[in-house]
Amino acid sequence: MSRSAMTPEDIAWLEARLGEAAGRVAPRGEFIARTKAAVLDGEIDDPEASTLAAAFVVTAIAAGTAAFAASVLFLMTRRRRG
Amino acid sequence: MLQDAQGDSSLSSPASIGDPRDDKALARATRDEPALFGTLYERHVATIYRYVYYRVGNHDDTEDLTARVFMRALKHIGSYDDRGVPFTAWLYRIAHNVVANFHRDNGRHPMVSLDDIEPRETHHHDDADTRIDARADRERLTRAYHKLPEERQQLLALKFSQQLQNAEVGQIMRRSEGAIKSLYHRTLEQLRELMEADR
Repeated sequence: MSRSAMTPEDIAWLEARLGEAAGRVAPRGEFIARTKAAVLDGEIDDPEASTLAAAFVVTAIAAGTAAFAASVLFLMTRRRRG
Repeated sequence: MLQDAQGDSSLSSPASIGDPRDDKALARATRDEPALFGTLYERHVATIYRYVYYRVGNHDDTEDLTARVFMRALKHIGSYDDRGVPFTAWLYRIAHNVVANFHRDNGRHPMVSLDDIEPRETHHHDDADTRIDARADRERLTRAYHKLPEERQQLLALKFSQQLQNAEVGQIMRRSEGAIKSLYHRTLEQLRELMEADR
């Protein structure tokens, strides 16, 4: 692994390669039209909402389980003392 | 990969981004009239597509994620706060989140592809060894790029897929221009070290 300082030539070489990678990428015309219609009609499946819902369900289940375990422990402790 | 690239060239130029004040006005108007979002979409779809492609490296995922970016933007257009933040910066932040979620859900496995892209220059005068070396360099660059921390990948994507200046990148990444300049230099150093280690 080289730890020497970067020269202007090193930087220029890396920048040229990174620039090449960007290329002339462009979306297909058919994609542009189809997606515009789908977005405006709300037909795109975005997992953002479902992820939030899933996170809520998981949190609720975890909280319920913790509450149940705490109740059982509390009752067991009371019985032993009683 | 480039051979697959099609589309309206007038949409693919960064110059087509348009007047940011107009973007803000349109974004505000979209809250009452969602159909106006179509204009914002047409104006920015090519630049967002190029950014996403740089991050994920294949057209199939890029199309899915680009659509998701605009779906989410339309959904949250009411929360767009235009105080000092250009609409494009807001859109890039959404794109960044969508791509980050995608990489997280896919275990951060590199989708590869920068190495699938042939460089713009032709090599009529290069010999076979030179072409093989260039190909190997691109492959090492791709692997190194995907090993970079998330924010450094984002920085390179914004600078090279969009040709944005440090100040513009700073607006999107919520950093000062100086901090971006410093981060950029460290990123190039890390990239070079990763490539050296991959020899």
